[in-house]
Amino acid sequence: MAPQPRDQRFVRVSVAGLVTVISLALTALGEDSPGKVSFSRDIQPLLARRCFVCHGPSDQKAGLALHTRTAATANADSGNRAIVPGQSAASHLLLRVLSTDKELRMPLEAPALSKQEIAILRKWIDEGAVYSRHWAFVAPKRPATPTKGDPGLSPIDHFITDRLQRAGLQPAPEAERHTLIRRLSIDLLGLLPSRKQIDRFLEDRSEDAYGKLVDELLTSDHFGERWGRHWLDLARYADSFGYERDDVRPNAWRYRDWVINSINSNQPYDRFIIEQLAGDLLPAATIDQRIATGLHRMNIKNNESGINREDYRNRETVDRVNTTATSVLGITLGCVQCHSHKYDPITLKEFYQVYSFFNNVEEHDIDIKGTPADQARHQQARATFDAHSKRLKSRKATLATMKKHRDLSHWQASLKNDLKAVAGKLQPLDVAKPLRESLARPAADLSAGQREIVSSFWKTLSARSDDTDKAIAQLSVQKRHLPRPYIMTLREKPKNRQATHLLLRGDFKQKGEQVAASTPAVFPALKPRQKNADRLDLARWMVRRDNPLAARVAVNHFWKHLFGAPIVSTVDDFGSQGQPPTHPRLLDWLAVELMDSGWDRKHVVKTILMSATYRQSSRQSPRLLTIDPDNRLLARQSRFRVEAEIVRDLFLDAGGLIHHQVGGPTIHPQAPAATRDLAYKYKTRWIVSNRPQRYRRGMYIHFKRTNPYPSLVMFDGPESNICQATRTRSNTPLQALVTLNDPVFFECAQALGRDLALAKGHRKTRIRRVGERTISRPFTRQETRVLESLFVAEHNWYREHASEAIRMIGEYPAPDTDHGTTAAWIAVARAILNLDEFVTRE
Amino acid sequence: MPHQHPLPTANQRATRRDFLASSASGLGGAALASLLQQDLPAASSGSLAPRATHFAPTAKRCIFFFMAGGPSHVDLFDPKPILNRRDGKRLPDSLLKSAEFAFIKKDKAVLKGSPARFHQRGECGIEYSDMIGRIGDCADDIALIRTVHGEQFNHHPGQLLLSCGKAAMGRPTIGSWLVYGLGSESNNLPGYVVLTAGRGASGGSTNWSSGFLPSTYQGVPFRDRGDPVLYLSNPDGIGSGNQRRTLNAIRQLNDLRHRQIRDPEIISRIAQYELAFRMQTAAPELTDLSTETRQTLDAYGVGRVSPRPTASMQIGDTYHRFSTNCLLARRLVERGVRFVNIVHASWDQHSRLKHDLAWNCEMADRPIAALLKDLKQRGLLDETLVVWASEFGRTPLGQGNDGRDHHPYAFSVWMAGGGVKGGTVYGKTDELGWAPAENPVHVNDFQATLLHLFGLDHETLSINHRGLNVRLTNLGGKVVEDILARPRHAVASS
Repeated sequence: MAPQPRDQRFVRVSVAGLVTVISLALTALGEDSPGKVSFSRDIQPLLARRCFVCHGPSDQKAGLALHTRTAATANADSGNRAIVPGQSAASHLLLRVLSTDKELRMPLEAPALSKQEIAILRKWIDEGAVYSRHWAFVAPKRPATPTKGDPGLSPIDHFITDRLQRAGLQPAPEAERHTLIRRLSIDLLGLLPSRKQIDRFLEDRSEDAYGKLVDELLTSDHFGERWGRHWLDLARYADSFGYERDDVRPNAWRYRDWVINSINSNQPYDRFIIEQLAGDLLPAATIDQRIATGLHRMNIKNNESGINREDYRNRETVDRVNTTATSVLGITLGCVQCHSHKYDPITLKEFYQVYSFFNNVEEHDIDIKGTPADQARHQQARATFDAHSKRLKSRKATLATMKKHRDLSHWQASLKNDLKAVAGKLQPLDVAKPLRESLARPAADLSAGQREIVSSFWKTLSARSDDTDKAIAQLSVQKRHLPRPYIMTLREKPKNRQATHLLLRGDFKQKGEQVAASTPAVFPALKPRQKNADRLDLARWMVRRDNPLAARVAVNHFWKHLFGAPIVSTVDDFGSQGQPPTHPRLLDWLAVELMDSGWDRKHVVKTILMSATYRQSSRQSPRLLTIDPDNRLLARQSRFRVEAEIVRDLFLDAGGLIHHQVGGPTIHPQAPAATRDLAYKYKTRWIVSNRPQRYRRGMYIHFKRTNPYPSLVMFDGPESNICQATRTRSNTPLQALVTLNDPVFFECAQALGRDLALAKGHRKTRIRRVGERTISRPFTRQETRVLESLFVAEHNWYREHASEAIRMIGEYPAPDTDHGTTAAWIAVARAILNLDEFVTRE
Repeated sequence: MPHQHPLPTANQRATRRDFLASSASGLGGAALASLLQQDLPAASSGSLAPRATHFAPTAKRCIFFFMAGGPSHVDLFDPKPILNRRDGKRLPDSLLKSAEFAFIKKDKAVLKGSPARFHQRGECGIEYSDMIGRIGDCADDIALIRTVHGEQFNHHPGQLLLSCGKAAMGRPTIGSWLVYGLGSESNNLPGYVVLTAGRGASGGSTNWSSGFLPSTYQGVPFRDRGDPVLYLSNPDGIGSGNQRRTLNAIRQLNDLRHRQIRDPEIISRIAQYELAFRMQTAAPELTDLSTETRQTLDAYGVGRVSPRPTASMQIGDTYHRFSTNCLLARRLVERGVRFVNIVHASWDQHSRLKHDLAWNCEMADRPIAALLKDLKQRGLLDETLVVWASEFGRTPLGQGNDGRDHHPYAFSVWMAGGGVKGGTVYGKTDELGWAPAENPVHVNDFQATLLHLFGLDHETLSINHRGLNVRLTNLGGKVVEDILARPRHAVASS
C-alpha cells in the first residue's frame, strides 16, 4: 500500500472547502521562480511519495532506483532506461506512468499520477532531469536580502514583505504598546509585565524605548527558565525513571539548572550542544560539563525486575540516537532503526553507525558535596528512610513470631500475656484499627465478631509476611534514590566495550554485520581526531559550519517560540518528507546569522524581536482568515494560548503569589488525591511544599512520568517520555474546570480579589487598573461595566449569604472590609483570570 | 500543510470558514447563542464533532476491561487438563529454548496444574472456569479468542502494546483513536472516560494518554467518590448561581474581545466554558445512583463488602468500587460516551495464585456478568462492544509454590456485543496453552478487529507523525473475520 501523507479520510470530508486554501497556500509557499521546474520543490516530493517505496533508497524493484540521477539514468534489469535526460519520449518512467495496461502502469496497484504531475515530470526530464540535492542537506549560505522596500527595515522584514507582496498582502501595523510589552514579557520570561514596567514603557517616548525593554528582558534570569523549558521538551526531562516502577530521580534537576544557567549566561549554542553530547570527553572536563551530559540520562529507563537488560539497553541507545537527531538535526531516524529510510538517503547501516557513538556509554553518578541545604535534605530523607526501614524489620519479626503460633492465645502466651508487650509488638503492624484492637485484647475476651476478624487475619499471616518481605526488598531501591547530592552523567565505558552490529529489523537479538562509528554519507564527512571516531567528534561535527542542519533547526525553534509557528512546520523532520520552509531564504539568513555571531542565541532572538514583523498586531481580519488561516505568511503576528506551565505562572503572578526562586530541587504544589491514588508501587508521598516554595514556577513541579501533575497534562504539557519537538494546543472543557476550580488556581483569584478589596479608589477605577495587572491594559469602559455588574450581583448575593462569603474567602480575608465585599471582589478576580485574553499571548 | 499537527485540518478549516459566514458583521448575541448550542469544535485543537466512518459500523461504544497484571488464561479461559496430569513435570526442552521469562529459572521450570474447574457454558457449550462462572453463563454473547499473543513479557511495555499497538511511549491509546476517528456523541461528558478501582495499573496515565494527539482525545479519569471529574466542583462558597453569573460575565467579555480581534479561538474558548458548566451538572447526575433500583444495585454488587482481608488490605472496598464502576460504565454509554476504560490491576499472580485469583474473580465475575445482561436487556449490547483484555497471560509453568510468571506467547481476550458473533471460540492453543496451535491472533490483529467493528479501517486510520505513518495496529493487523456477526463483505457493501 502506498503510504499516505496524512489521514486521507479527513481530507476527503470537505475537499470542496479546501481547494482555494490549498492552492493559495501552495503558491504562497514556493519561492523559486515560477515556470521552471524545481527538483526539490516539484520532483523530489513526487518521486518520494509515489515511487521510492519500490524504487528508492531501501528497495530497488526490477533493478531500478529513482533517488539518484546515476541510478535513474542507468539501464534497469529490463535493459531500459527510466530517465533519458532531455528526452522524455525515450524515458521509460514516462511511458510507464502513462501506460493504459494495468499490468504495466506505474505505480502498480495505486492510483495513477495526475495529468499535472505527469506534465511536470515530462518538463523536468526535457529540461535535463537535474537532480539538485534536498534543500536541507545543503549547507546554508547567506542569501541576498530583497532590496525593495523601506531601507529602515530589518532583513527579516524584507523577506517577509517580499513574500506578502507577491500574495497581494500587506503587513499589519505595529501592535499597541501594552500588547508589545505583554508579548515580550510572555515570550521571553513567561511572566506578566509589572505595572511599573508598563508605565515606564508607555511613558518612554524615546526611539530606542522598545530596544531598551528587549535588552532588559534578555538579561533577566527568567529568560533562562522560559527558554530552558523549551529545550527540556526536547531533552525529555523528568524527575522519575518511567515505566512500571518509575522511581524518583532526586538529582535530575541539576541538569535542568545547568540548562537554565547555560541559556542565561548566553553560552554559545554550539558549546551548549557539544557539552551535552560529549562534555565528559572534553579535555579536563569540569563538573558543569559533566552535568551537561545529563541530557542522555533523561531517557526513560526500565527498573522493573525480570527484564532483559540487553533489550532495554538497546532501547535506551536508540532513544539517545533519536533524541540527538531530532533535537539538534531536526531529522527523524525512528524508522531507520528497522529499515533503510524510504525517502531520505540514510541507510540502516548508517543508523547503526550513529548508534555506535552511544553503544559504549555508561551511566555514571558522581557524588558531590552540594549546598548545606542539599545536605540537610539528604539527612532528613535518610532519617525518614531509617525509621521506615526499622518499622518494616520489626514488623517482619512480629509476623514471624506470630506465624510460629497457631492462634492469638498461643502467641499472647508466648509474650507471657503481658498486654503491654503485645501492644508494642503490634505497633509496626499497619493493619486496620479494629483488627489491631482485637489483637491487643486477651484472646478469651474477644467477641464472636472480633474472633472472626482475628482468625481470618491469622489465616493470611503468610500473605502478610510476603508483603513485608516485598517492602523490605524495595528498601535497597529506595535507599539508592535518597536525595544524596550527586550528578547524573554519562561517560565512555572504560572496559567491557562491545562491538556495534547492525540490528536486523531493529531486533536486538538479530545481529547483522559489524559497523564502526560514523555519520551518514549524505552529510559532510566526519573528521575524527583519531582513527576511531567518538562522541566528541560527533558533537563537533553536528555544529560545524558546513553541517546543513543544526543552525537551521535551532533558528526554526527560536522562530516558533516567537511566532507560535515555525518556518519549517515539521520541526522534527527537515528531510524530504517534511514540509518545505515557508520562507527558505529567511531561514538560511537566520541560520547564517546564528553561526556568524558565534552561535549567539540572544543575538538572534533580539534580531527577530527588533523586526517589524515581530512587532505587528495579531488582529485577525476576515480576509486573512480566508487567505492564510494558519498565518504562514505572517501578515500579522500570531495569537495563541500560552503553554501549560505558563498558564499557572501567569495565575500566580497576577495573584501576587509567585515565588521567583530560579532553580533548585523540585516542588510539590497542592495536588488532588488522584495524584497519590494512581501511583503504582513505591508510593512516594506527595507532600505539599511549604509556602512560598509551592508558589514557584510550573517548570519546577516534580514530574513523575506515570503520574504527571494533572493541570500540566490538561494544558498539553509534554509527557516527557520521548523527545518532543512540538506541543499541541488544545482547548477543552477540562481546562476551564482547572482555571475555574482547581484550588491552586482559585487561590490566585482569592489573592487578587483581596488586593482588589484593599485597593483604593472607586470600584470603576479599581477594575480598570486591575486590567493592567492581568491583561496588561486597562479594561475599557464597556468591559468595566460588565465586571462592575458582576461585582454588584455577587455583592448583593454574598451580603445575604455571609457564611458562603466566609467559605469563599478562605485564607484571604481583607482587613477592615466586610466579607460580602471581599467575596464579590474575588468573584471579579476569578472572572478576569478566566478570560481568554488572560491566558493568551497576543 | 503542516503535518506535525496531525489533526483533521480539513474539518477545522471548514469550521473557520463557517465562522466567517456567521461573523462577517460581528458575532451578534443570537449568532453566538446558536453557535454555542452546537458545541463548536475547537478551531486549532482536536475536534470532537461526530465524524463519518469508513464503512457501516456495528459498534458505537466500547466498555473495555483492562485487566492489568496478566490474568491466567489457563485457569480462566483455556482449560488444559494435561497440566494437572503432569503437575510438577518438566517442560519439553524444545519449548523452553526460545522462551523468555521475567522470573522463572529455566532449569527449575515445571508445569503447574490448575486449581480451577472448567464447565461447558451456554448453548454454545464453550468451557469457562468456574471462577468466572457468571461470565461463562453469558457465553452465548461472547466471542472468546484463545490465541492472542504479543512479544512483550514485562508489564508496562505489554500494556503499551495493548493500549497503543506498540511497546513505545508517546502514541495514542485505543480510546483516543476511537474518539479521534469517530468524534464524541456526548454534549456534556468527555468522549473517553477511565474508571479505576483498587491499585492503579503500572503504566499509569500512559494507558489512557492521547500521545502526540491533543489532550482533547485523552482519557478522563472519573472517580466513583468525591468529584467524579477532577475540579468539577466549584470552590467552597460558590454556588451554581454564582458560577452562572461569572460565566456570563466571562462570556460577554470574551465576546467583546472577539469583536475586536476576530480570532475564532475565542469562540471556541466560550464553547468550552459552556461545556464545562454543563458537565458540572451532568457528571454528578451520572454518578448519582439513587435512580437505580435495588435489584440493579444488587445484581452489580454495589455495596458489597470485600471478603477476607487480602494483600491489598487497605483497599477493603475494592469489590464495591469495581461493581460501581461497572454500573457507571453502563450509565456512561447510555449518555453517549464513546469509550469507557475500566482498569483493574491486580492480576499479577506470581504467588498465591489460588487465593488471589479467586479473590479477583469473585470481584469481577458478578458485576461484569450483570453488566452484560443489563446492556442486553436494555437493548444496548447490540451497539456496545464489551472487551476483556490484558497485556499477557500466565505461564503454564509454575513459579514458586503457587504462582505463574508472565506469558505473552498465548493468552485469552474476549469480546461481547457490538457486532461480534456470540457463542464463538476462536483459535486453539497447543496442549499446554503455551502457544497458538491454530489461528494465532496478534495483539495488533485484535486491535484491527476492534476498529473494524467501529467501521474504521485500521490501515486508513493513520496519522503521519515524524515521518512515520502511525496506526493503532503499528505495522500489523488483520481483522479476525470469524468472530464478526456480519461477514466483512456484507459490511463493506452496505
